Amino acid sequence: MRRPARAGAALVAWLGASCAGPEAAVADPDWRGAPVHVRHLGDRGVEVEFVAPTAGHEFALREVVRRGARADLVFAHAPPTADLVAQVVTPLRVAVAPERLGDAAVVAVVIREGERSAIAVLAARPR
Amino acid sequence: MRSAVVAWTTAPLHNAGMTAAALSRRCHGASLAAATSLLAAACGGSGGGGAPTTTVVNGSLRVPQTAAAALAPIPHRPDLLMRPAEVVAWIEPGVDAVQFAGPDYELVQSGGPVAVFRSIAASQRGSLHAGAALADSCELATCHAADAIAALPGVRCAQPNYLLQATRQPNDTHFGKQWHYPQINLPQAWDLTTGSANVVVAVLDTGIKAAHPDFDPARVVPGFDMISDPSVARDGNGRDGNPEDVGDLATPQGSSFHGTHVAGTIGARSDNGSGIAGVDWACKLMHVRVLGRGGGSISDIADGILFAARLTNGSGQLPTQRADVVNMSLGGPGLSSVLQQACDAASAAGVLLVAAAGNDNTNQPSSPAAFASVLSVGAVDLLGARAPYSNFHSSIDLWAPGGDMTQDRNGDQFPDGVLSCMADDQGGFFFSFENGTSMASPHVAGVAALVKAANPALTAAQIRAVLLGNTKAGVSLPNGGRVVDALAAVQAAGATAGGPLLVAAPGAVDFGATATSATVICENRGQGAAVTASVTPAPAAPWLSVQTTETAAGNGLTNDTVTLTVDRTGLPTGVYQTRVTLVANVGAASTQVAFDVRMQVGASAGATDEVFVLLVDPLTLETYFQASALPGTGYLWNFGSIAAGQYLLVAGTDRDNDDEIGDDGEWFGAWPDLDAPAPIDAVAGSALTGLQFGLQDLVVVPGSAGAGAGAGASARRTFRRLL
Repeated sequence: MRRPARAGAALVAWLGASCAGPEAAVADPDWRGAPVHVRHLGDRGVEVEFVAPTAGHEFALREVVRRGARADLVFAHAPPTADLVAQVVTPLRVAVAPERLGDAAVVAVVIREGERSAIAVLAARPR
Repeated sequence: MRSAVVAWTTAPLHNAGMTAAALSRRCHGASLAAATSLLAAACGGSGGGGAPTTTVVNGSLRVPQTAAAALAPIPHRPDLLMRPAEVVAWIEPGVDAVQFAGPDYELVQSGGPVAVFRSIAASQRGSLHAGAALADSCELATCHAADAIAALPGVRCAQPNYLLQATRQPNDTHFGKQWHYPQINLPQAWDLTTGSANVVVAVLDTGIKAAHPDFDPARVVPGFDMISDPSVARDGNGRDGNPEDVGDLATPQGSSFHGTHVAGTIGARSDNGSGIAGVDWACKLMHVRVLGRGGGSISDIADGILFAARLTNGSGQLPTQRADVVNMSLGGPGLSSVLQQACDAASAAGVLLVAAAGNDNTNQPSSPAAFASVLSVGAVDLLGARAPYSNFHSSIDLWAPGGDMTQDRNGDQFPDGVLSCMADDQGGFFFSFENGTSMASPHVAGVAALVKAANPALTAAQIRAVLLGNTKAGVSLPNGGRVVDALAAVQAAGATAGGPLLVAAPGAVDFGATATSATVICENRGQGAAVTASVTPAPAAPWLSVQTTETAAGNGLTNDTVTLTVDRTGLPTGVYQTRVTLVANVGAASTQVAFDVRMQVGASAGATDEVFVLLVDPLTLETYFQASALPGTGYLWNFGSIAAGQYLLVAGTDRDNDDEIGDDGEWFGAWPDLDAPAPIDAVAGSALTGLQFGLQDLVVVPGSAGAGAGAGASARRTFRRLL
């Protein structure tokens, strides 16, 4: 299960750049909402899980955008519209087929709320 | 889809488990040099390097040969009754337990594989049950002694010598998975009462799947479907007399059937040889459907409250009997004046309203929980600490188990959620674990029904006072919060039949680092004329002065006001706590009420909050596993079983609740030292213990490399904790 050393070194460099400052090409995850997890599926697709704090949240996959070796899964988040909602933690899972990811080495979950977008997760895909 | 589902059949359960994904992960192949340099750069050193280490965390992890087959150790429970200072151990064959006796442990009993030791250090400490603070208690010292004895070669396992009490254990198949009932002393309360059919609990929720086999049709009184919008109701019409839940399509995976889960906690069919137990085994349930697709409206919920209270409402309908208790496992941000009017009216009509405090992990108030006429309930996890999602606004009155499904702290291979009734859109009935303040609220509503059963003469205000005045300690709950205690509440309710009932407000006082005086006003909401006889802190608190005066005539208690003054002179930096008990005489009898007092000396007294301990990938810094270390347990942590791999071990507080550790203003550390971190190689089949390291206060020092908005500030990387 261990990653080849060359890929590991590349990821180190990539993350190092991500921490370096505002001029970095790749931003750190900056989503502050519901926790998001990415699970790699056996068919090389992924399952994205949003752990919504209450009922009434919606996360809809709008598009998959390729940025070099990265595939951005762009989700639109709609918070509850009702006045009051059930206060139960609600996991919401969305599967993304492997053909939508192509040969991307990294998957980014991007969440869009109105005009604002934030990166929730950056996950390297297993080879 | 839910992460763990218990089938209705009696087939063996399996855990679809919270750690399934985590266990499949492996650390990537970072070299030692790369990992350490990455963490050092990521952490930016010790935040200026000047802060001394004053908090130490210590713990262990275990790497089984096959992760899925491993069981996490069952955590110690210092809050349970135990034989003082005694540790019971299982000795390996051929080993003589006498060899372990010495200056630290006396051998009390041996002869077979079971040996009993007495810890000398623990025996010199006071008991929690006699008022000692947890950190200084005999019980915690006994837990530590058990750990030490368990680590001796020749000892297979060891634990405190707990006292097992005869309690009412229902024979429901899945009762053993309902950890959330023993947590609030419910089995002991069932020895006194299992409820009364004269008590009605209204459940304002998504409605009910009435055909679920763990609901008793004879225990249901007519309710109502108050949803006015047919598209929200999804049952083909607006308001009607049928509160059956037809599904809210809450997720792409299906409907939530939230009301069925909540109602099951309050009053599932119990002691019937199958399924689960409810908190109350006899009360009547009134289902009022107010949540549908997307949630519910203020108008529908306000009318639902009025209906349950048998007050005039927009439906034009009234129940035959008003509810004694209303549970509302629902909420929304901000405060609704219309909803408050409805709550105030129902409360004035004699209904006890209980509501979920909300799951947004904020200190913001929400409707309806924050209203003074509503008893607001926050959620705790299996250990009694605040669940990571629970709101912590000061309006929270009481805490109850809401679970934390990211954890399996009792090692039962199920996530630590609340187990109750569930259904699906295909007509199936089963049981599932859920977590949320939605799950905490019905525990309190159910206990309120038991209190009413124990003493039918109690008014809603008196039930509330009983619940708030008879609680148990949680673990570092915000604002001095305490956990509902079913046994203590039912005992108090029975004892107060026709007698006095003392309450104190506020229920806890926190002087912080600077305040020096405060007042607590007590009153007698029961019968008789009470006179304050004594006010005593326990454990003794020389730093605290108490004085009683009479300030509020006519509240049933003479000398009703307790003035508290603290003196920090000469005290070393730290946190000081005690519990003050006011005893009052009523004729020849006496009664009492207690409240907690906390004070801090020094601007920063160490990490007094929960510490999150993370195993992160040394390459990506992604968090793979998380454990928790609590002040009350001496900052001991245990990951239980993890997957083999290479990890960095970091720990820190998250006082600002931004789900990140390692940011400014927090306590933070890395193993073995923050200035020289090193990865841990977790090899399959190994166990690592004694992983002790210090935390430092990441104070921003003006002018230092780590301060301000310069390049240095962005050099430090924080670590995301799991929900």
